[in-house]
Amino acid sequence: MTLGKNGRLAVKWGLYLLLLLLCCGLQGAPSLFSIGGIKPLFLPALAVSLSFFEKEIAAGAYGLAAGLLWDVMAGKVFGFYGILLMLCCIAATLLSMYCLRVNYINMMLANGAVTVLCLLWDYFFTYLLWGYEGNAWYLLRYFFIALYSLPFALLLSFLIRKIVSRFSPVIRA
Amino acid sequence: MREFLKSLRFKILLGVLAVLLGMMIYAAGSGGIDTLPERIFASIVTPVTKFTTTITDGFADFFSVFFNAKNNYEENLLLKEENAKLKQQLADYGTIKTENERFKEILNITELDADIELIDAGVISRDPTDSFYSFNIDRGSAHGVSLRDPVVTADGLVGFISSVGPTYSTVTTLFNPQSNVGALDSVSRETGNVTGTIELAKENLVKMEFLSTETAIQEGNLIVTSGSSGMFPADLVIGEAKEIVTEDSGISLSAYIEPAADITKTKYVYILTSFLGQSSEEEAP
Repeated sequence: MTLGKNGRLAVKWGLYLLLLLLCCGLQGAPSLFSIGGIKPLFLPALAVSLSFFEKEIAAGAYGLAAGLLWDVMAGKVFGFYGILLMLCCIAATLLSMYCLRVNYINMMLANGAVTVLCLLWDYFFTYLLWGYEGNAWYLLRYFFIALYSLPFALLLSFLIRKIVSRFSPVIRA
Repeated sequence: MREFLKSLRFKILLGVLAVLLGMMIYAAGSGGIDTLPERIFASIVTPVTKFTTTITDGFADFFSVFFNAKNNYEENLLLKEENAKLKQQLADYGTIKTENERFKEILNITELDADIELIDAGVISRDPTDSFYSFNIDRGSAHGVSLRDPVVTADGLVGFISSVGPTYSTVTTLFNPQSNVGALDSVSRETGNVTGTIELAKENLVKMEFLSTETAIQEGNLIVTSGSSGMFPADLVIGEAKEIVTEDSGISLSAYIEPAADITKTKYVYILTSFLGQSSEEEAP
């Protein structure tokens, strides 16, 4: 059975949604993938990977949804990561439309940059702004979180690319 | 790029951004009570994280048998040793219990436990970026949880409820510098304030600050809640004093305390919704 254009679009976004919920669950699971207290981030990588294949509004909305889920899960002020991820996803889409080629190297660079940005955003508002002593140590911890997130980001980029190539009529080059 | 900046899509995005900023300010001013959009998103997050946590915990428990065999063996030896000591203590316990009951009758002391009402809860998610080990639990206002309710395990105090939704809540732990608990040394009866610091959190320690330079608190002493603030019941175990240090100012001392509860790994907690001497004011502890 072959799907029509709307059917493929519905299946594609259904899969995106499933991935979003899966990543939300994996990121929040207390003991999963934890090495020495360091756990990977899934939501920023997923949102940025998708941005390389979708338009600005869709990417921004997906980034916003991912960020807001993260906010609720992390007990942050509602919109803390939501706004940042939305802007990052729009920027990633624009870069992929006008400046960058869509390949795994660029996707990983963008993923790494956004993950680091999210962590610095958290570091600034959670630690630096409050003037806690010895907070520089957490920069190192964040570095390891970002590094540990990269292999998972590659896997998510691969999955998103597979979904897009299967269900989208046109793929951005 | 210029096309995009002049397009309607860009204006829509600016509008969305403005709405989001407004929503964020509103949420920040809500004082820990979740707003409607937060509740909607939480109704998605809570079952999803609860489900994945159940699955992943099952996997982790299964594989931990193989990965932790050596640790389990060493732990077993330690437990055997501890068991022998406890047996000895148990022999003394009967005598002490009888004596204690007699003293209680004489002094007509009321049992505090009778006034405590608690709700059990499961940990459903932990944020990888949070260095103070805060976590979400599967109980909220619908179950009778309120802001600032103390959270404990069978071993001791864990923290307090810092944000509450209908079916979930966020727990801020003792490691967080924003947590302040009135505490008391069970031996010397000296009081102080137990709080967290960024440096101590990574070593799973908290500190009891504002102790005089002539403090009688010693390593190994049990630190409990004083109950003076009305936010926590009295005599809840916080932990054991590990080290006494002089503060940078040089005018006071601090005791580093190892929390009795395993805050970083606990999967189940209890929320104390009512207890003797509870304050009705919702002040930050």
